[in-house]
Parts: sequence; C-alpha cells; structure tokens
Amino acid sequence: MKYHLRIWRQAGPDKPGRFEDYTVDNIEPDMSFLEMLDILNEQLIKEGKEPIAFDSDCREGICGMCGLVINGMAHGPRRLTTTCELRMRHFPDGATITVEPFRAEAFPIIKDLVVDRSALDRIIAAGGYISVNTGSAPDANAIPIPKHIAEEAMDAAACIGCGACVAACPNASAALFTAAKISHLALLPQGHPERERRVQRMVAQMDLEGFGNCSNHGECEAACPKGISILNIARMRREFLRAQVRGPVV
Amino acid sequence: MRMEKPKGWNTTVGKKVIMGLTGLFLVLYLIVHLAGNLTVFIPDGGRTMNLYSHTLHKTGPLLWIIRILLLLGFIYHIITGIQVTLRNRRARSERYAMYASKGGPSKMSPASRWMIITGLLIAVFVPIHVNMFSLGPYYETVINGEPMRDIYRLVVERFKEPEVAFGYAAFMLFLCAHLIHGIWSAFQSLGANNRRLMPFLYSLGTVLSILIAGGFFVLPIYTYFFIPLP
Repeated sequence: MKYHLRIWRQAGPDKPGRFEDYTVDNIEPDMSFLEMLDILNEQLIKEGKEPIAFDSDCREGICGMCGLVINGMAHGPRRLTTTCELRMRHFPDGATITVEPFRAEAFPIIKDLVVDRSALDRIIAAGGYISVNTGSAPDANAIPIPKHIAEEAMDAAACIGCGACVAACPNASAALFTAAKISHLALLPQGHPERERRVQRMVAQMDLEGFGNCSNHGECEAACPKGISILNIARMRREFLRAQVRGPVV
Repeated sequence: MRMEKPKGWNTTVGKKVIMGLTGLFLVLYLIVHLAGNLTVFIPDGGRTMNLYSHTLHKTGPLLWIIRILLLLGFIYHIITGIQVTLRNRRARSERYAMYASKGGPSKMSPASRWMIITGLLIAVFVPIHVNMFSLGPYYETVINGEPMRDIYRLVVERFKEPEVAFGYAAFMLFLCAHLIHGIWSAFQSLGANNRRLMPFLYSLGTVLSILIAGGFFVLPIYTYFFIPLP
C-alpha cells in the first residue's frame, strides 16, 4: 500500500516548524503506524536526509511513550488504541495522512514529533504517591477492599501517562491524567491518609505547568487508549472540595 | 508558561467549581423567572402577572438581597468564564493544522465549544433586557383597590414590536445552547457525578435547557401574535 504523508518537521525547541510531504510505498496492511514511519526513516537515511524524530518504546500499548496526532486525532482514528498499536489497514491505500506532535504549551516540542511530557512526571512527584516505609511486601489481602472498589481503582490506574488526554483536549488540560492518578489512590485505604495534601499539591502543580482548564468536553476520554472515564475528574473535584473544607492548604 | 503557584479557588479546579455554583444559581433563578413570566398566558388581562409582580416587590429588602446576589453571581460567572477561556487559549498557542473528534463517549458539541460566545451574547442581552422591563416606563393600574405597576401592559407593548419579540426569541436560542452544555457540566464541575448519575444528569441538562429556553422563546412570539394590547 502507498501513503502520502504530511509530517511536522521542527529542528529544535525554539526553531520554526513546518509540514513536509513524503510518500511511502510497499506498506503491509498489518504494519503498525510506527513501523510505517520506520520504513520512511530508512528511506530518508538512504537519501542522506535527516530522519523524522518520534517517540516509542514498548510498541505494545503499555508504556505510554508513543503519541502522535494523526489526522487531527491523538493516537489516530481508532478508539482505545495507542499509536504503536494502530495498523495501516485502517487507512485506505493512497490516502494522505497528516501527522503532528501533541500540541500544548506544557509539552514543548523537542524535535519533529517528539515532545517533552515531563510536566506529567512533575504532577506525580507533587503528590501522586503514598508515603510508606519500605520493607517486605505486605500480605495480599491484609486490608480488605471490596471488589468493585478495587476494580474502579484499577480502571483509573490503567493510565499509562501518554498525554493523549492533553493532546485531544481543546484546552490542553491535564485534568484526566491528574484525576486518574488522584482517583486510584483516593479509592483505596492506603491512599486516604494523604488525600487532602495530595489533591491540593497535584492540582497546584498541574496549573503551574500551564495546562488549560477542564471544560467537560470529554474529548480526553474519547482519545484515552485506556478508556479512562471523565467521572474520575468529578472524583478529583470531590477530593479537592473535601480538601478545601478539611485539609491543609499547601 | 511559568506562573505563581495557584491555591484553592484560584486553581483550575477551583475556578470551575465557581463556574458551576454561580451557573446553577443563575439556572435556579431562570426557572423562578420563567414561572413568573408564564402568567402572561393567563387570559385575565394581566391581573395575575401584576399581582405576582406586586407581591414580589412587597418583599422589599428580601428582593434587594436576591437582586444583589444575582448581580454578583452573574458578574462572577462572567469574569471567571473569561479568565478560564483566556487560560485555555494560552495553554495551546500553536493550533493543530487538523483537529477532529473520535466521538465515542465525547460530549463535545458546538454548544460545549462555544460557551464563551453564547455566554457573552447573554451577557449583552441581560442589561438590555433589564433596562427594557424593570427599568422601563412605569404604567399604573389598580387591582382590588390597590394601585400597582402595570408590568403586563409594558410586556405586551414591547412584544408587539416585531424586532423586540423576534430579537428576544433569537437570544433564547443562544441561552438554550449555553444551558445544554452548562447544566450537566456544572454538576460535573462540582464533582456531583458518578456512573449512575451521569445519564440522568446529561438528560436532565438537555430537557431543562429546552424547557427553560423554550418557555422564554415561546413567550414573546405568542404575545406578538395572540395577546391583544390592554
């Protein structure tokens, strides 16, 4: 199969960027989107040109490293799919595909399609953990947790931190990411002692990074490769209100 | 974009709580306002409407407290809404060349995307509206031997002017769009949402928007065509 690609090229963080057109041929339908880009890069290297920089690691949809905006959609047109799991059979032969980086002030472009998502790491560092003394692992069922609570916490914990929620949000808000991280801890007893401090610090850090407001469009949930619900954002707001009433203001 | 560490109500989460609270308060007022206005449909030459208005004005200080709260809520809602929108623009200065929705669970719609536009249109409409009616000409009538303001006459007179009746109705379409996203979104912003509530709140938001805006929409048009000048 043959594709025409319109890809964002940018030499560095403060350099001007622009779209460049490429054509790739002999693409197998079962190839992933990233494998297609690998082939394009080999082609570019043979031609003595600069290959296109893009992020990837596990290439099996669990690490959260890959992430491109393909035809205007974070991780491409398929729901519940990361860019690395997206197959070329989902694009008709001869199609023109537009590829852009995740765009947000909080995600500065490093090069081409690679963006710096360490803002998300700083949100975690601000409070997305529980403070415990390390030692041997506790017994599995030492703390009884109802099945449905465990499931809900697990659904929130499925977040791989890829940043597609930010990329898809019309406001470039990181509310879904932050809410997922707050939720999976707030639902479990281990997360309760630090819950007020956690939500206040993580929300403050999220704002400091320059992400937008959540306007409840729900585009984040539609783009999330793990299908994390915006109901977690409602929970984050409950946690926030609770902290405003009871917790320390930090 | 570096800025000072935000706290409490100045955070993005806090500001949306303010939007939700003030928004729901204004919706509550709209319902009461509409209930009062619907008395125009009672074919008694405005007796019920004038009595209702007169009773409201007799509450004196209470009415003023509500008016001040409404004004504060209205202004706070607008200012916070503008702040929220400006921040959102700053959060993505370089726009996408192509932007599309994956659909699915997304609640994005023209209504949700154009909240600032419909909101500002309503912000323009409200002062004109208050100036036209509450601060408009003072006609007097006597009901049950008591002199009172003939607000009914003013309303019918104004709505007999086609540009007023149809202009008013047109603005109610913007109100409808604003409420369709605003009502359910307010509950979500206040954290008052979960798996069971979600479908209910979303339907409630849509139904209430259509009922409220629909009521205010029908009123001037019905008056224009069917209610005789007193």
